[in-house]
Amino acid sequence: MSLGWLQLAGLLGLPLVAGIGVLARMRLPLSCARLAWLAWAWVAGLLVLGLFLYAWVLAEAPLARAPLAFGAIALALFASGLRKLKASASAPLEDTVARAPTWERWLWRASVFAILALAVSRVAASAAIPVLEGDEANYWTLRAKLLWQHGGISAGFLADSVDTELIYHPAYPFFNSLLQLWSFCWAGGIDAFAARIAIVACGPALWLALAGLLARVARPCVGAVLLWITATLPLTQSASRFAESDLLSALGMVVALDGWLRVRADRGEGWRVLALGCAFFLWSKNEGALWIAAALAGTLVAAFLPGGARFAVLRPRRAWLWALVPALFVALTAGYNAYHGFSNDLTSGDYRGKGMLALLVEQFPERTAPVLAWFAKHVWFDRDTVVVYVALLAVLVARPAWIRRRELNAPVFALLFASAGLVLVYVATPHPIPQHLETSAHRVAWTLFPVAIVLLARATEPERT
Amino acid sequence: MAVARFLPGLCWCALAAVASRGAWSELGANARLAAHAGDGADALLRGALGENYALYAALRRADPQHVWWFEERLDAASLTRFIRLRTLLYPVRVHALRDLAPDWAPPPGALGPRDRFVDHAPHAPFAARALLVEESRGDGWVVYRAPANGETR
Repeated sequence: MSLGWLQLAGLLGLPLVAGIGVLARMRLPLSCARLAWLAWAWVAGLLVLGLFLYAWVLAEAPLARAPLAFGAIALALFASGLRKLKASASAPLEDTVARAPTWERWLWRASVFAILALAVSRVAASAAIPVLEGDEANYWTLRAKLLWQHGGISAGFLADSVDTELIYHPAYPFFNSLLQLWSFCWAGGIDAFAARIAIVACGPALWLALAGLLARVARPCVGAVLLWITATLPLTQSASRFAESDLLSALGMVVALDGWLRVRADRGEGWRVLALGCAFFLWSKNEGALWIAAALAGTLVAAFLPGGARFAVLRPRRAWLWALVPALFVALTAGYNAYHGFSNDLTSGDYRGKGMLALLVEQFPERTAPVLAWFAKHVWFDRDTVVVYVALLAVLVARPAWIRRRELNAPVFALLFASAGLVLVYVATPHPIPQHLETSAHRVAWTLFPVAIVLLARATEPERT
Repeated sequence: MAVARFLPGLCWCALAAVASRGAWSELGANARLAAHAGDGADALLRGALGENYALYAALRRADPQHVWWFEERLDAASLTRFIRLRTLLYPVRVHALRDLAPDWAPPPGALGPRDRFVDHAPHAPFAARALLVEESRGDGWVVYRAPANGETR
């Protein structure tokens, strides 16, 4: 890697500083999250960095000057937010760790510390592995290279983007590639080692966000075991070392779930955190559209269950203004694609001239059983994940009342709908199966795993009123 | 009494230890890998690419103004080699000339940018007939360049 320590500090530090400034402006003080707060700052910082770089490449401004320009923005955000951060007050946060026996507190702290050390070691190890293959190299890094080579979204970049001898999927969101471009800006050129630094740094952020959430919803000993199960999954390992967008998606989903649980606990900051998480996963991957559709459907179903909130779920109406934040990032991708006439290969039927719905109907009888069987074998009943999914299933079957818990019903339905939706995507894919399943379904399904462990952890706790 | 008091704690700690299986060896492996991060890009790429490093080293010095082509067989190793090098080499653009089945004559236009280098007659070998042979290299590699305007073989 060609980056020195000072450049690394700038690459990682400036987004974090900007994120702290953004959290302050969003009235999200440290006291409302503790462990997860740093992860939120990273999420907010990367979103601001992504927005800045997107504007920069659209303007075809000199990329070598981007660090300086963003540095000024980050420092301005931090300086202006610092006063607000000190002034913001937050109600004390419920925390199961503080109430736990000593041995449990130590088990929890040692586990979180060790998992963070493992996550940091994955980031460090990734700096010795060149970006060579997979979606990481062929879509995300290559797109960042095109941006660097053409100096932004120029006519040359657009021409290369549609050259299928070079790259596929011009309709994919820009977020991942912009974060890799950020590394090139610091390295002063294309760097096959530094490219993924900002993305793999989302690994430690994921554990902070997840640990912060688990510390609120479950006993520390349960949380520690579930954290270890997640951290040691082979898929977690690969997602943490390579710049696929699945890690970004998973981090956004955990932050969004944190926000949702805060909303249901009537905490004021919930909507803002939810907006932050949704914006992050929606700009990370096209799958974000499936996750948000599943979340909205889950919320709707939960609202109309017996005893549900019905239309009261839409209150307070002012809070829905925060939906404009994720909508902005969806609009960025949709606007770019509409302007240049790009479309998603799965939904537009680029390969066979048939849309996704037509393919779903056509392929449903033939493909549903093999796709379901594949998911059962490789995702839900896989040796590494079976404990969590079977435990969740057992809770659903044995304690149906659990699903009616006010704060849990919507995420549980969202998880079920997201899983079902994922199965349907592979039933309707224009690509051959099992190849398409084997090259992507593991990774995409893994995105839901951290959400599943939070729901399972919450299920082990008695209902709070 | 004492055993009963400590048993839940011991059980949970044991469970966490079982769940953390593999983490410690991974931590060591990551540390060893990270220690090599400062070895320099060339040394790391040599290790990652193995026998394909020589081809990479030759092609990365190629002129990015041209599109470069290299022969490739349709076996898994060749395909992996091509995909890895194609992405890694950018902004040097390389394409692969894939072997075609001997009895298959692709219709004109079927091969995209490769099309102009293909003899579409049945049983014709898929050969780079129209290409200017730039250099031949060892290890079975032949590297071609598309002729620029006005260039002939």
